[in-house]
Amino acid sequence: MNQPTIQPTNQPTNPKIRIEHVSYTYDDKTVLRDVTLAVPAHAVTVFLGPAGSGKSTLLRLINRLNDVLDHTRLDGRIFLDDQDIYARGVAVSDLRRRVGMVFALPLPLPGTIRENILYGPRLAGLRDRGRQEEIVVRCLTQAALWDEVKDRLDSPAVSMSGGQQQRLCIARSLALEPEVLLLDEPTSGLDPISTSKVEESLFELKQQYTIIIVPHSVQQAARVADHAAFFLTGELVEYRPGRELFTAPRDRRTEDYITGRFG
Amino acid sequence: MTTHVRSHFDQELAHLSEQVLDLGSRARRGVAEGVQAFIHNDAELAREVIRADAAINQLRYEIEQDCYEILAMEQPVAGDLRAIVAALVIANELERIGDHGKKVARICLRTANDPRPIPMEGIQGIAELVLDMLDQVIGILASRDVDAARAVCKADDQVDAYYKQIFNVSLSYMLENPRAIAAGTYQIQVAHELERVGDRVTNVAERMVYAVTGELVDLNT
Repeated sequence: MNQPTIQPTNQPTNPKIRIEHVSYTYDDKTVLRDVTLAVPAHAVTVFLGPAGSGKSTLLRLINRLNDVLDHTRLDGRIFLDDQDIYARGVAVSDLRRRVGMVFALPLPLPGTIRENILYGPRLAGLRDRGRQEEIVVRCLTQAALWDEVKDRLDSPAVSMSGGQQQRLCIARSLALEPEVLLLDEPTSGLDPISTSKVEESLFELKQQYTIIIVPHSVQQAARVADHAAFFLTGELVEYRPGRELFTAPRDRRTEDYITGRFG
Repeated sequence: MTTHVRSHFDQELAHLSEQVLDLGSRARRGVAEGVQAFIHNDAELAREVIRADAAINQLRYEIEQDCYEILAMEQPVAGDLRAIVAALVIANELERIGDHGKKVARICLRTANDPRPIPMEGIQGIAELVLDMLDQVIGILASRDVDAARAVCKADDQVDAYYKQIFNVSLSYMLENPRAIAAGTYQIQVAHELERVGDRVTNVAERMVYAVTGELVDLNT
Protein backbone atom coordinates (compact mmCIF):
# COMPACT_ATOMS: atom_id res chain seq x y z
CA MET A 1 0.00 0.00 0.00
CA ASN A 2 1.33 3.40 -0.88
CA GLN A 3 1.48 5.39 2.36
CA PRO A 4 2.49 9.02 2.05
CA THR A 5 4.27 10.49 5.06
CA ILE A 6 1.96 12.92 6.78
CA GLN A 7 3.76 16.02 7.90
CA PRO A 8 2.20 17.57 10.96
CA THR A 9 0.83 20.99 10.22
CA ASN A 10 1.74 22.32 13.63
CA GLN A 11 5.44 21.59 13.89
CA PRO A 12 6.32 23.36 17.12
CA THR A 13 9.47 25.43 17.14
CA ASN A 14 10.81 23.85 20.33
CA PRO A 15 9.43 20.33 20.54
CA LYS A 16 9.98 18.31 23.69
CA ILE A 17 9.74 15.01 21.86
CA ARG A 18 10.48 14.35 18.21
CA ILE A 19 9.33 11.13 16.60
CA GLU A 20 11.09 10.67 13.28
CA HIS A 21 10.08 8.09 10.70
CA VAL A 22 9.15 5.54 13.33
CA SER A 23 7.97 2.17 12.09
CA TYR A 24 7.35 -0.74 14.39
CA THR A 25 6.63 -4.34 13.62
CA TYR A 26 5.62 -7.11 15.94
CA ASP A 27 5.82 -10.66 14.65
CA ASP A 28 5.95 -9.30 11.08
CA LYS A 29 2.77 -7.30 11.70
CA THR A 30 3.29 -3.60 11.05
CA VAL A 31 1.92 -1.65 14.01
CA LEU A 32 3.37 1.76 13.14
CA ARG A 33 4.24 2.97 9.66
CA ASP A 34 6.73 5.79 9.13
CA VAL A 35 5.32 8.09 11.80
CA THR A 36 6.84 11.55 12.12
CA LEU A 37 5.57 14.09 14.58
CA ALA A 38 6.83 16.59 17.12
CA VAL A 39 5.28 16.91 20.56
CA PRO A 40 5.40 20.46 21.94
CA ALA A 41 6.47 21.16 25.52
CA HIS A 42 3.98 22.37 28.14
CA ALA A 43 0.91 21.25 26.24
CA VAL A 44 -1.46 18.30 26.16
CA THR A 45 -1.08 16.21 23.02
CA VAL A 46 -3.61 13.44 22.41
CA PHE A 47 -3.04 10.32 20.35
CA LEU A 48 -6.36 8.99 19.16
CA GLY A 49 -7.58 6.32 16.82
CA PRO A 50 -9.46 3.02 16.81
CA ALA A 51 -8.15 -0.16 18.41
CA GLY A 52 -5.09 -1.37 16.55
CA SER A 53 -4.20 2.08 15.22
CA GLY A 54 -0.81 2.07 16.95
CA LYS A 55 -1.44 4.95 19.35
CA SER A 56 -0.73 3.01 22.56
CA THR A 57 2.29 1.34 20.99
CA LEU A 58 3.75 4.74 20.15
CA LEU A 59 3.07 5.92 23.72
CA ARG A 60 4.86 2.86 25.08
CA LEU A 61 7.80 3.34 22.71
CA ILE A 62 8.36 6.82 24.17
CA ASN A 63 8.91 5.13 27.55
CA ARG A 64 10.79 2.14 26.03
CA LEU A 65 8.21 -0.18 27.52
CA ASN A 66 8.44 -2.55 24.56
CA ASP A 67 12.20 -3.13 24.94
CA VAL A 68 11.81 -6.59 26.41
CA LEU A 69 9.40 -7.89 23.79
CA ASP A 70 10.77 -10.45 21.35
CA HIS A 71 10.22 -10.52 17.58
CA THR A 72 9.83 -6.76 17.29
CA ARG A 73 11.61 -4.26 15.13
CA LEU A 74 11.81 -0.51 15.58
CA ASP A 75 12.94 1.78 12.77
CA GLY A 76 13.29 5.51 12.97
CA ARG A 77 14.26 7.59 15.99
CA ILE A 78 12.63 9.15 19.03
CA PHE A 79 14.24 12.17 20.63
CA LEU A 80 13.60 13.59 24.08
CA ASP A 81 14.90 17.13 23.80
CA ASP A 82 17.81 16.34 21.50
CA GLN A 83 18.67 12.98 22.99
CA ASP A 84 17.91 9.84 20.99
CA ILE A 85 16.23 7.71 23.65
CA TYR A 86 17.18 4.48 21.89
CA ALA A 87 20.84 5.45 21.48
CA ARG A 88 23.48 3.24 23.01
CA GLY A 89 24.37 4.30 26.51
CA VAL A 90 20.94 5.69 27.41
CA ALA A 91 19.87 4.06 30.66
CA VAL A 92 16.19 3.13 30.60
CA SER A 93 15.88 4.00 34.28
CA ASP A 94 17.13 7.54 33.56
CA LEU A 95 14.66 7.86 30.69
CA ARG A 96 11.75 6.71 32.87
CA ARG A 97 12.71 9.22 35.53
CA ARG A 98 12.19 11.92 32.94
CA VAL A 99 9.18 10.29 31.32
CA GLY A 100 6.47 9.11 33.73
CA MET A 101 3.61 6.85 32.74
CA VAL A 102 0.12 6.21 34.07
CA PHE A 103 -1.98 3.29 32.89
CA ALA A 104 -5.70 2.70 32.48
CA LEU A 105 -6.04 0.63 35.60
CA PRO A 106 -4.99 2.40 38.80
CA LEU A 107 -2.31 0.34 40.50
CA PRO A 108 -1.71 1.64 44.00
CA LEU A 109 1.24 0.00 45.72
CA PRO A 110 0.66 -1.80 49.01
CA GLY A 111 1.08 0.72 51.80
CA THR A 112 -0.25 4.12 52.72
CA ILE A 113 -1.03 7.09 50.52
CA ARG A 114 2.15 8.79 51.73
CA GLU A 115 4.26 5.68 51.07
CA ASN A 116 2.92 5.46 47.54
CA ILE A 117 4.04 8.99 46.75
CA LEU A 118 7.43 8.53 48.40
CA TYR A 119 8.20 5.11 46.93
CA GLY A 120 10.20 6.52 44.02
CA PRO A 121 12.02 9.30 45.87
CA ARG A 122 13.02 6.93 48.71
CA LEU A 123 14.27 4.38 46.18
CA ALA A 124 16.31 7.21 44.69
CA GLY A 125 17.86 7.78 48.12
CA LEU A 126 15.87 10.69 49.51
CA ARG A 127 16.00 10.58 53.32
CA ASP A 128 15.26 14.19 54.29
CA ARG A 129 11.87 14.18 56.08
CA GLY A 130 11.14 17.81 55.34
CA ARG A 131 11.85 17.33 51.65
CA GLN A 132 9.69 14.19 51.65
CA GLU A 133 6.76 16.12 53.10
CA GLU A 134 7.18 18.81 50.47
CA ILE A 135 6.98 16.18 47.74
CA VAL A 136 3.84 14.60 49.22
CA VAL A 137 2.07 17.96 49.38
CA ARG A 138 3.24 19.09 45.94
CA CYS A 139 2.33 15.88 44.12
CA LEU A 140 -1.06 15.43 45.73
CA THR A 141 -1.88 19.08 45.10
CA GLN A 142 -0.83 18.89 41.44
CA ALA A 143 -2.95 15.77 40.96
CA ALA A 144 -5.97 17.56 42.51
CA LEU A 145 -6.10 15.08 45.40
CA TRP A 146 -4.63 16.98 48.36
CA ASP A 147 -7.86 18.40 49.75
CA GLU A 148 -9.50 14.97 49.78
CA VAL A 149 -6.71 13.03 51.49
CA LYS A 150 -4.65 15.52 53.50
CA ASP A 151 -6.18 14.22 56.77
CA ARG A 152 -5.53 10.56 56.02
CA LEU A 153 -2.12 10.32 54.42
CA ASP A 154 -1.34 7.26 56.52
CA SER A 155 -4.42 5.31 55.43
CA PRO A 156 -3.94 2.41 53.04
CA ALA A 157 -3.99 3.54 49.42
CA VAL A 158 -6.36 0.72 48.52
CA SER A 159 -9.01 2.28 50.80
CA MET A 160 -9.40 5.15 48.33
CA SER A 161 -12.06 5.29 45.63
CA GLY A 162 -11.12 4.31 42.05
CA GLY A 163 -10.94 7.93 40.97
CA GLN A 164 -8.73 8.82 43.93
CA GLN A 165 -6.50 5.82 43.25
CA GLN A 166 -5.95 6.97 39.68
CA ARG A 167 -5.10 10.49 40.80
CA LEU A 168 -2.74 8.90 43.36
CA CYS A 169 -1.01 7.11 40.48
CA ILE A 170 -0.66 10.43 38.66
CA ALA A 171 0.67 12.01 41.87
CA ARG A 172 3.11 9.13 42.32
CA SER A 173 4.41 9.56 38.79
CA LEU A 174 5.04 13.26 39.55
CA ALA A 175 7.15 12.53 42.64
CA LEU A 176 10.38 12.10 40.67
CA GLU A 177 9.70 15.35 38.83
CA PRO A 178 9.52 13.91 35.33
CA GLU A 179 9.50 16.24 32.34
CA VAL A 180 6.97 14.22 30.36
CA LEU A 181 3.83 12.45 31.52
CA LEU A 182 2.34 9.67 29.38
CA LEU A 183 -1.24 8.74 30.18
CA ASP A 184 -2.82 5.66 28.60
CA GLU A 185 -6.62 5.97 28.95
CA PRO A 186 -6.20 7.22 32.51
CA THR A 187 -9.91 7.70 33.13
CA SER A 188 -11.38 4.70 31.34
CA GLY A 189 -12.62 3.15 34.57
CA LEU A 190 -13.66 6.35 36.33
CA ASP A 191 -17.01 8.02 36.96
CA PRO A 192 -17.70 11.43 35.37
CA ILE A 193 -16.77 13.43 38.48
CA SER A 194 -13.43 11.66 38.92
CA THR A 195 -12.84 11.95 35.18
CA SER A 196 -13.49 15.65 35.35
CA LYS A 197 -11.05 16.02 38.29
CA VAL A 198 -8.31 14.16 36.41
CA GLU A 199 -8.91 16.28 33.29
CA GLU A 200 -8.92 19.43 35.41
CA SER A 201 -5.57 18.43 36.91
CA LEU A 202 -4.14 18.17 33.36
CA PHE A 203 -4.73 21.88 32.83
CA GLU A 204 -2.57 22.57 35.89
CA LEU A 205 0.05 19.95 35.11
CA LYS A 206 0.75 21.13 31.60
CA GLN A 207 2.15 24.38 32.94
CA GLN A 208 5.05 22.31 34.23
CA TYR A 209 5.06 19.09 32.22
CA THR A 210 4.70 17.87 28.66
CA ILE A 211 1.69 15.58 28.54
CA ILE A 212 0.71 12.92 26.02
CA ILE A 213 -2.59 11.19 26.58
CA VAL A 214 -4.40 8.38 24.84
CA PRO A 215 -7.95 9.40 25.71
CA HIS A 216 -10.75 6.95 26.35
CA SER A 217 -13.23 8.81 24.16
CA VAL A 218 -13.34 11.35 21.37
CA GLN A 219 -15.16 13.74 23.69
CA GLN A 220 -12.36 13.54 26.24
CA ALA A 221 -9.82 14.08 23.48
CA ALA A 222 -11.69 17.20 22.37
CA ARG A 223 -11.85 18.53 25.95
CA VAL A 224 -8.18 18.19 26.78
CA ALA A 225 -6.27 18.39 23.49
CA ASP A 226 -4.01 21.30 22.72
CA HIS A 227 -2.76 19.15 19.84
CA ALA A 228 -4.30 16.01 18.43
CA ALA A 229 -2.81 13.22 16.33
CA PHE A 230 -5.15 10.77 14.63
CA PHE A 231 -3.80 7.30 13.86
CA LEU A 232 -5.30 4.64 11.64
CA THR A 233 -3.78 1.20 11.05
CA GLY A 234 -0.38 2.42 12.15
CA GLU A 235 -0.38 5.53 10.03
CA LEU A 236 -0.46 9.12 11.29
CA VAL A 237 -3.37 10.50 9.31
CA GLU A 238 -3.68 14.01 10.69
CA TYR A 239 -1.91 16.05 13.36
CA ARG A 240 -3.18 19.51 14.16
CA PRO A 241 -4.19 21.82 17.00
CA GLY A 242 -7.07 20.16 18.85
CA ARG A 243 -9.48 23.02 18.31
CA GLU A 244 -9.04 22.60 14.54
CA LEU A 245 -9.08 18.81 14.41
CA PHE A 246 -12.30 18.58 16.39
CA THR A 247 -14.18 21.33 14.57
CA ALA A 248 -12.89 21.02 11.01
CA PRO A 249 -10.68 17.98 10.36
CA ARG A 250 -9.08 17.99 6.93
CA ASP A 251 -8.92 14.27 6.30
CA ARG A 252 -12.10 12.35 5.59
CA ARG A 253 -10.86 9.41 7.68
CA THR A 254 -10.43 11.66 10.72
CA GLU A 255 -13.92 13.07 10.22
CA ASP A 256 -15.40 9.58 9.89
CA TYR A 257 -13.69 8.35 13.05
CA ILE A 258 -14.38 11.26 15.38
CA THR A 259 -18.00 11.49 14.26
CA GLY A 260 -18.46 7.78 14.91
CA ARG A 261 -18.98 6.68 11.31
CA PHE A 262 -16.69 3.78 11.99
CA GLY A 263 -15.25 2.40 15.17
CA MET B 1 -13.24 -1.12 7.36
CA THR B 2 -16.12 1.34 7.38
CA THR B 3 -18.87 0.29 9.73
CA HIS B 4 -21.86 2.50 10.19
CA VAL B 5 -22.54 2.73 13.88
CA ARG B 6 -24.67 5.85 14.12
CA SER B 7 -27.99 5.35 12.40
CA HIS B 8 -29.92 6.95 15.28
CA PHE B 9 -27.73 10.04 15.17
CA ASP B 10 -28.05 10.25 11.40
CA GLN B 11 -31.83 10.12 11.77
CA GLU B 12 -31.70 12.98 14.26
CA LEU B 13 -29.58 15.06 11.88
CA ALA B 14 -31.90 14.27 8.96
CA HIS B 15 -34.94 15.28 11.04
CA LEU B 16 -33.21 18.54 12.03
CA SER B 17 -32.44 19.25 8.39
CA GLU B 18 -36.08 18.64 7.41
CA GLN B 19 -37.29 20.99 10.13
CA VAL B 20 -34.94 23.76 8.95
CA LEU B 21 -36.17 23.27 5.37
CA ASP B 22 -39.77 23.46 6.58
CA LEU B 23 -38.96 26.67 8.46
CA GLY B 24 -37.34 28.10 5.34
CA SER B 25 -40.36 27.45 3.13
CA ARG B 26 -42.74 28.87 5.77
CA ALA B 27 -40.60 32.02 6.11
CA ARG B 28 -40.47 32.38 2.34
CA ARG B 29 -44.23 32.10 2.18
CA GLY B 30 -44.57 34.78 4.88
CA VAL B 31 -42.45 37.21 2.87
CA ALA B 32 -44.17 36.40 -0.46
CA GLU B 33 -47.68 36.73 0.95
CA GLY B 34 -46.82 39.79 3.04
CA VAL B 35 -45.62 41.59 -0.09
CA GLN B 36 -48.59 40.34 -2.10
CA ALA B 37 -50.96 41.63 0.59
CA PHE B 38 -49.23 45.04 0.58
CA ILE B 39 -49.17 45.37 -3.21
CA HIS B 40 -52.81 44.31 -3.63
CA ASN B 41 -54.00 45.90 -0.40
CA ASP B 42 -55.34 42.52 0.74
CA ALA B 43 -56.10 42.85 4.46
CA GLU B 44 -57.34 39.28 4.81
CA LEU B 45 -54.08 37.87 3.40
CA ALA B 46 -52.10 40.24 5.65
CA ARG B 47 -53.94 38.91 8.72
CA GLU B 48 -53.24 35.36 7.56
CA VAL B 49 -49.48 36.14 7.32
CA ILE B 50 -49.51 37.54 10.87
CA ARG B 51 -51.35 34.46 12.19
CA ALA B 52 -48.95 32.08 10.40
CA ASP B 53 -45.94 33.76 11.98
CA ALA B 54 -46.79 32.20 15.37
CA ALA B 55 -46.23 28.74 13.87
CA ILE B 56 -42.90 29.90 12.42
CA ASN B 57 -41.78 31.08 15.85
CA GLN B 58 -42.91 27.80 17.40
CA LEU B 59 -41.01 25.74 14.82
CA ARG B 60 -37.88 27.77 15.41
CA TYR B 61 -38.07 27.02 19.17
CA GLU B 62 -38.54 23.33 18.42
CA ILE B 63 -35.42 23.35 16.23
CA GLU B 64 -33.48 25.16 18.93
CA GLN B 65 -34.61 22.66 21.55
CA ASP B 66 -33.67 19.73 19.29
CA CYS B 67 -30.23 21.25 18.76
CA TYR B 68 -29.68 21.57 22.52
CA GLU B 69 -30.73 17.96 23.02
CA ILE B 70 -28.44 16.66 20.25
CA LEU B 71 -25.54 18.70 21.61
CA ALA B 72 -26.11 17.32 25.10
CA MET B 73 -26.82 13.72 24.15
CA GLU B 74 -24.45 13.16 21.23
CA GLN B 75 -21.63 15.61 22.06
CA PRO B 76 -20.93 16.01 18.35
CA VAL B 77 -17.63 17.07 16.83
CA ALA B 78 -16.36 18.09 13.38
CA GLY B 79 -18.96 18.18 10.56
CA ASP B 80 -21.74 17.08 12.92
CA LEU B 81 -20.97 19.90 15.34
CA ARG B 82 -20.86 22.44 12.52
CA ALA B 83 -24.15 21.16 11.09
CA ILE B 84 -25.90 21.65 14.43
CA VAL B 85 -24.40 25.05 15.22
CA ALA B 86 -25.24 26.14 11.66
CA ALA B 87 -28.82 24.88 12.10
CA LEU B 88 -29.16 26.98 15.27
CA VAL B 89 -27.99 30.15 13.55
CA ILE B 90 -29.89 29.46 10.33
CA ALA B 91 -33.14 28.76 12.21
CA ASN B 92 -32.78 32.13 13.91
CA GLU B 93 -32.21 33.89 10.58
CA LEU B 94 -35.15 32.15 8.91
CA GLU B 95 -37.45 33.03 11.78
CA ARG B 96 -36.38 36.67 11.49
CA ILE B 97 -37.04 36.51 7.73
CA GLY B 98 -40.56 35.42 8.64
CA ASP B 99 -40.75 38.45 10.95
CA HIS B 100 -39.90 40.74 8.04
CA GLY B 101 -42.84 39.24 6.13
CA LYS B 102 -45.07 39.85 9.15
CA LYS B 103 -43.91 43.48 9.41
CA VAL B 104 -44.77 44.03 5.73
CA ALA B 105 -48.22 42.54 6.44
CA ARG B 106 -48.66 44.94 9.37
CA ILE B 107 -47.75 47.91 7.16
CA CYS B 108 -50.41 46.65 4.73
CA LEU B 109 -53.06 46.73 7.48
CA ARG B 110 -51.91 50.14 8.70
CA THR B 111 -52.21 51.66 5.18
CA ALA B 112 -55.36 49.83 4.05
CA ASN B 113 -57.44 53.00 3.79
CA ASP B 114 -54.71 55.37 2.56
CA PRO B 115 -54.42 56.71 -1.00
CA ARG B 116 -51.70 55.01 -3.09
CA PRO B 117 -50.20 57.60 -5.41
CA ILE B 118 -46.87 55.76 -5.92
CA PRO B 119 -46.68 52.80 -8.34
CA MET B 120 -45.71 49.42 -6.87
CA GLU B 121 -43.22 48.37 -9.57
CA GLY B 122 -40.22 49.03 -7.34
CA ILE B 123 -41.60 46.91 -4.49
CA GLN B 124 -42.58 44.21 -6.97
CA GLY B 125 -39.04 44.19 -8.39
CA ILE B 126 -37.16 44.05 -5.09
CA ALA B 127 -39.57 41.38 -3.82
CA GLU B 128 -38.91 39.20 -6.87
CA LEU B 129 -35.17 39.50 -6.33
CA VAL B 130 -35.39 38.69 -2.63
CA LEU B 131 -37.76 35.76 -3.16
CA ASP B 132 -35.41 34.38 -5.81
CA MET B 133 -32.53 34.60 -3.31
CA LEU B 134 -34.69 32.84 -0.72
CA ASP B 135 -35.56 30.06 -3.18
CA GLN B 136 -31.89 29.60 -3.94
CA VAL B 137 -30.78 29.51 -0.32
CA ILE B 138 -33.52 27.03 0.61
CA GLY B 139 -32.24 24.85 -2.24
CA ILE B 140 -28.72 25.20 -0.84
CA LEU B 141 -29.94 24.03 2.59
CA ALA B 142 -30.76 20.74 0.90
CA SER B 143 -27.93 20.54 -1.65
CA ARG B 144 -25.09 21.89 0.58
CA ASP B 145 -23.65 23.44 -2.58
CA VAL B 146 -20.91 25.81 -1.39
CA ASP B 147 -20.38 27.48 -4.78
CA ALA B 148 -24.11 28.22 -5.02
CA ALA B 149 -23.99 29.61 -1.47
CA ARG B 150 -21.25 32.04 -2.46
CA ALA B 151 -23.10 32.98 -5.66
CA VAL B 152 -26.43 33.74 -3.98
CA CYS B 153 -24.78 36.42 -1.87
CA LYS B 154 -23.77 38.37 -4.96
CA ALA B 155 -27.46 39.04 -5.66
CA ASP B 156 -27.64 40.97 -2.40
CA ASP B 157 -25.80 43.87 -4.08
CA GLN B 158 -28.69 44.15 -6.55
CA VAL B 159 -31.17 44.15 -3.68
CA ASP B 160 -29.27 46.99 -2.01
CA ALA B 161 -29.23 48.93 -5.28
CA TYR B 162 -32.98 48.38 -5.72
CA TYR B 163 -33.59 49.63 -2.19
CA LYS B 164 -31.69 52.86 -2.89
CA GLN B 165 -33.68 53.31 -6.08
CA ILE B 166 -37.02 52.84 -4.27
CA PHE B 167 -35.84 55.30 -1.62
CA ASN B 168 -35.03 57.93 -4.24
CA VAL B 169 -38.21 57.40 -6.24
CA SER B 170 -40.36 57.59 -3.09
CA LEU B 171 -38.51 60.72 -2.04
CA SER B 172 -39.14 62.43 -5.35
CA TYR B 173 -42.88 61.63 -5.12
CA MET B 174 -42.97 63.03 -1.60
CA LEU B 175 -41.14 66.20 -2.65
CA GLU B 176 -43.59 66.80 -5.46
CA ASN B 177 -46.74 65.93 -3.54
CA PRO B 178 -47.13 66.24 0.23
CA ARG B 179 -50.12 63.86 0.11
CA ALA B 180 -47.70 61.13 -1.05
CA ILE B 181 -45.59 61.42 2.12
CA ALA B 182 -47.38 58.63 4.05
CA ALA B 183 -47.39 56.26 1.05
CA GLY B 184 -43.73 57.05 0.28
CA THR B 185 -42.66 56.46 3.87
CA TYR B 186 -44.44 53.11 3.99
CA GLN B 187 -42.94 52.02 0.66
CA ILE B 188 -39.49 52.81 2.00
CA GLN B 189 -40.31 50.81 5.14
CA VAL B 190 -41.46 47.80 3.11
CA ALA B 191 -38.39 48.04 0.87
CA HIS B 192 -36.23 48.20 3.99
CA GLU B 193 -37.81 45.02 5.36
CA LEU B 194 -37.09 43.27 2.06
CA GLU B 195 -33.54 44.59 1.95
CA ARG B 196 -33.02 43.06 5.42
CA VAL B 197 -34.31 39.73 4.10
CA GLY B 198 -31.51 39.85 1.51
CA ASP B 199 -28.95 40.41 4.29
CA ARG B 200 -30.32 37.47 6.26
CA VAL B 201 -30.20 35.23 3.19
CA THR B 202 -26.47 35.95 2.97
CA ASN B 203 -26.13 35.06 6.67
CA VAL B 204 -27.80 31.72 5.98
CA ALA B 205 -25.47 31.14 3.02
CA GLU B 206 -22.44 31.96 5.18
CA ARG B 207 -23.52 29.36 7.74
CA MET B 208 -23.96 26.75 5.05
CA VAL B 209 -20.41 27.43 3.86
CA TYR B 210 -19.27 27.01 7.47
CA ALA B 211 -21.25 23.80 7.94
CA VAL B 212 -19.75 22.24 4.81
CA THR B 213 -16.18 23.56 4.83
CA GLY B 214 -15.46 24.73 8.39
CA GLU B 215 -14.61 28.21 7.09
CA LEU B 216 -16.29 31.20 8.70
CA VAL B 217 -16.57 33.72 5.88
CA ASP B 218 -18.20 37.12 5.45
CA LEU B 219 -20.11 36.95 2.17
CA ASN B 220 -21.97 40.20 2.75
CA THR B 221 -19.30 42.65 1.68
